[in-house]
Amino acid sequence: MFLKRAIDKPQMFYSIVALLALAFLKIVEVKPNRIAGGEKYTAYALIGLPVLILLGGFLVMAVLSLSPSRRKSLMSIICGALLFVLLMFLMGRKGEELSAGSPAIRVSLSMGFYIVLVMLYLLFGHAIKGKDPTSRIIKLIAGVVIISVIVMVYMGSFDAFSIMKEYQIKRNQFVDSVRTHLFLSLGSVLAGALIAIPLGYLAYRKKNLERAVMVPLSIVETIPSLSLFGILLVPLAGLGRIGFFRALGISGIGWAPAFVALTLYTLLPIGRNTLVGFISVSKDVIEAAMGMGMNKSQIFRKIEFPLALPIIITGVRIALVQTIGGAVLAGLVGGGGLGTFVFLGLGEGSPDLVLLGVIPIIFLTLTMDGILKSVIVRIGRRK
Amino acid sequence: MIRLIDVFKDYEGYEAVKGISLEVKEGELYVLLGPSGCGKSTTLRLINRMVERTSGDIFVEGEHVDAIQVETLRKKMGYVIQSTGLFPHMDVAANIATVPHLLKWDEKRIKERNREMLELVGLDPEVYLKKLPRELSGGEAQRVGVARALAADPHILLMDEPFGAVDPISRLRLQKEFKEIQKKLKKTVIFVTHDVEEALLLGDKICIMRDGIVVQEGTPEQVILKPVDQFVQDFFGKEGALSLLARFKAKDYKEETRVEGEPLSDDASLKEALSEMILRSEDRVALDSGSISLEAIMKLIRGEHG
Repeated sequence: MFLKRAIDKPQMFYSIVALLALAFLKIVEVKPNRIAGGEKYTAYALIGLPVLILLGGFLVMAVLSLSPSRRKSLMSIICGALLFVLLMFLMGRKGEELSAGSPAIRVSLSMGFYIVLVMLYLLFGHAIKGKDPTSRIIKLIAGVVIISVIVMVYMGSFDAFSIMKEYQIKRNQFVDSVRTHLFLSLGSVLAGALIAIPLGYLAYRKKNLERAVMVPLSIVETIPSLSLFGILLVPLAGLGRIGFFRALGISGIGWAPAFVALTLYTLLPIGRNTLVGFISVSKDVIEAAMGMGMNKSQIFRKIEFPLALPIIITGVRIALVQTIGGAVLAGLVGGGGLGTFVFLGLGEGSPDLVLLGVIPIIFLTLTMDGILKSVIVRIGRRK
Repeated sequence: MIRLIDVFKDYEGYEAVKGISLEVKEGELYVLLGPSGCGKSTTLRLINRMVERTSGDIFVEGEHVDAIQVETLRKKMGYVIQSTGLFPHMDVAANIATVPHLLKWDEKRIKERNREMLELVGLDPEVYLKKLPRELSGGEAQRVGVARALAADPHILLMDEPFGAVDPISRLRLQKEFKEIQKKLKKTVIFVTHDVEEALLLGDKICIMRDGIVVQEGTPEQVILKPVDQFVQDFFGKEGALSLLARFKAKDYKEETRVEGEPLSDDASLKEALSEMILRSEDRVALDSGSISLEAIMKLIRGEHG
């Protein structure tokens, strides 16, 4: 009966790695204050016996990988979600206990925790594969997990963790940075779309212009971003000397070069997808539309554009995801945004400060990606 | 009525159409038949100006095609192409309503027309109105294509190998059904095909083209029985004469005599009757309440020759 049983190898592997990491690696470092060196704890040393529940949970996940049941992935998702929430809860409670003794105490996350986190992420991704990510049950589970974490953060469970301490110190700056980051990324993608969609359409309409339009966009994409900031420094500094532009806040450093550079990088994905979107409209469909007496503008409005739209939006989605990440570099040229924390953290050797910048970036990226994906699905389903 | 006078089409040195003149009468199904590359599709597309001719004149219902705005000209003529060209992002209802929408019919009239058209082409409106083209089979898609072309009730229908991409069994059914529709609606149809049997089954008149010129024009009987040259004769082949029998319905030559055996279906042609006779090795096969005899078929053939 053990013959020919299909083992879900990835799930087995991820569960066992998480199990081992949780059992043997240090999951946190507890420091008496920000500067002093601390002591590292394994999960057992930190949490105590309840860690057995967690270990048991990962064992269950590993055993599930042997199961041929069709409900296996759903059970894995639920199990993983419970494990994650429980881990956060136990760590948070222990953190509270520790900080009750001394408010200066800081708990930093260590390798073991990150490995468990990454494995859980991979397990989710693996279990969700082939499932409709918009299905109700998955939305429900994701909602429960997110709300539990938010509630725990709000209740102060993680106040002892240094990432939260960094947040407390920089709270005002944090909100500002998120806002700047959003403005930079959404704004530059919008500007990029306004430029690149007409360019892509132009390249489609006028075959002989295709290379003239697309080649420069590809070249822009090959310039490393730091060099692009350097290149932009001179003209923007010059522009900043003119009263009107100075009033807008344009200068060689600050938000302007970041905005311009990010916009330039969005042109290729959006422009190319626009071109591909229009090219992919079947010639027969256009022929039929013409043959029935539609004029050029009707063919564009009713046929070509709606059919190209899902591919164009995919281009916008790629550009947006790329830009939210890329906007980190604005931190380097004084453009603000979450990159400020990342580079400050790197400078001060404080990984928690880096995380304070990176975690919202991941969150923003996933949210925007999800929103645009569902827009595309909706357009595709439209009757 | 459509009239082409000495029409040429020159594609940068390659002459696709070399001086064609022809006349299609009202209510006539006129087939342009020929091997690929003979210029038949180009000729069709010259009429609705999807292709602009190099010289010559084309009149549609008495008006010169250049005297009418090109979109208006096209809206007056239904257009069906081989790949159907259905709009993939619109449901069947929106596809059929394309030209009525362009002509700004009111919604109520469009809705009624959609149902009427689907029923005409043998599709249940309840089932099909909300379907997307990708949910249709090849045959269903082509029916919708025909319904769309007929939606604004044009006098003229241009069809470019409309059933060419459909599997053989569905094709024969579509051809027979289209023949019935045409009998009812009496549109002026120009029908491009390279399929000899299709041409003989559907055409009131057949125009055989080769290398951009008209080789012969006439009724199916004329082109089969009196081919003008070897090319026409070879094109129809020896079985061409047999295909001619597909034009006639067995029940129209029914005799009272009853015989044993499974009766032929109601829409069976003389060709099918003849092939049944061969299969059963009889000179008479049963029809619904009667029979058809080899003698009756021979009589018809002699009549055609006479």
